[in-house]
Amino acid sequence: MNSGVFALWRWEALWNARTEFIDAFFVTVKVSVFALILALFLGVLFGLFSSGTNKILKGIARCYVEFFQNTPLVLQVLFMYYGLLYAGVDLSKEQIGVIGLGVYTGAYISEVVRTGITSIPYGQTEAALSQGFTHLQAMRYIILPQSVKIALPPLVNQMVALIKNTSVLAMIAGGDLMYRSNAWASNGTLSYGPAYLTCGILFFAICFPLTYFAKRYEQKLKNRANSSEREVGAK
Amino acid sequence: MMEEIALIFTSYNISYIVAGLGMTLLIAVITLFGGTLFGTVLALLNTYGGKFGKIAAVIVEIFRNTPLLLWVFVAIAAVPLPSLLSRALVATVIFNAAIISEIIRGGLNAVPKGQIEAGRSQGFSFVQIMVYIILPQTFRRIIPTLTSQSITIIKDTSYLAQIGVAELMFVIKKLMSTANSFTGHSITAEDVFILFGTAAIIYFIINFSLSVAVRKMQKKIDITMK
Repeated sequence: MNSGVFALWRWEALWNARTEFIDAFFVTVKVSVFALILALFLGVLFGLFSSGTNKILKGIARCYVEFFQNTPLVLQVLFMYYGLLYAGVDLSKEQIGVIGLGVYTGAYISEVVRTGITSIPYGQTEAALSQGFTHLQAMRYIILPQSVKIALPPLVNQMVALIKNTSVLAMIAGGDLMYRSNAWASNGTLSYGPAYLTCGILFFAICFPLTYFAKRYEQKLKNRANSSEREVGAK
Repeated sequence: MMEEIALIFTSYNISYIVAGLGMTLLIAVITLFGGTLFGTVLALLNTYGGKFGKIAAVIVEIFRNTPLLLWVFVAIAAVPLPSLLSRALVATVIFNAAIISEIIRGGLNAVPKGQIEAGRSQGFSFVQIMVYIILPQTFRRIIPTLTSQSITIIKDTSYLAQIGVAELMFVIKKLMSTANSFTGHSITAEDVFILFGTAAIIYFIINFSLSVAVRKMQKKIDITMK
């Protein structure tokens, strides 16, 4: 038999195992989606805490961000996995993935949200308050609409990071795309070529449109900022 | 708790953990310097390379949109080097070269184009202009971003635990799975907590110090740029 890395029979073997790969792909997508929802919730919550005025809430948000940004995701997930295993708590690997990735990415999104909010000059809040807006209204109608624009590109980049990071599940045999590709290739046929190529293409197919959009949008914002500066300069 | 800590941290185990930490730092340093070197080449190609620039851009996009662990697995299967470590390093260096090249490209774009023309008019060659004029300014600008990338690099070394490179995360996992041999009882949640907690503290101290340094540098740059 032809032993080439990308030999035809290896592709046939992959094709015969396609349902395994499709299932694994959906595990990755499912974990990504739920982790993203959790991350957005935590990110907005702690982002508001850290851009607010309450010192205690600010402190809590700071601790959350610093701890989760400065330790590896791999450690957090393994810690949770083995900790729960030996404590006898029953959580599925997918649930561990959602919580681990959600909490980790939430720390990054919290910083994105904080930067988005604090980049709008405080004078605008004051102006809104002086016009009889409540604090919540000022946030809702004046600050957040502007913040969202600024925060969108880095937010999308965090989304991409989250999707790539689902590969951490491979370290606890989580049934995700990375795990399945590696496990399938290591067992029996050693068809690494097709397995890794397929895995890479699937990740690329989800992530590239997102990074492309983020880059484009950022450029658009920059161009708009430059042209409005020029207009101000011309006057 | 205290008894358990005493049982786990035998002098042998402590030296094993320290060796793991050393391996983590070694991998991170090689990855950072290798990544910066190849990243500079990619960034220069991407910015000034014309046709080759397109190729560099494609390489960067491929690595930016796929997980590091995939490339580690690919390197283990495909790179003809003798040890697991050297194969894994090929993956981490190339992967980070792609990421770092985007950081460098941002820095290159921030240096005014007129400087290249000025260099040319003084009879400098392209290489001389880059080495003496453009790159020094580029690197001064991107040192903070590069330092925060080094935090990511240190954290990402823990993926290598999966392929059996004896870095910190691998060492901790190994100690946990063999804990019964020095605690005298089967593994408990407490053992997991102590061992992984220790690793968390070690990673945190290193990375937090780096992130504090990043913030200081950024403040300084903000002041001088104004």
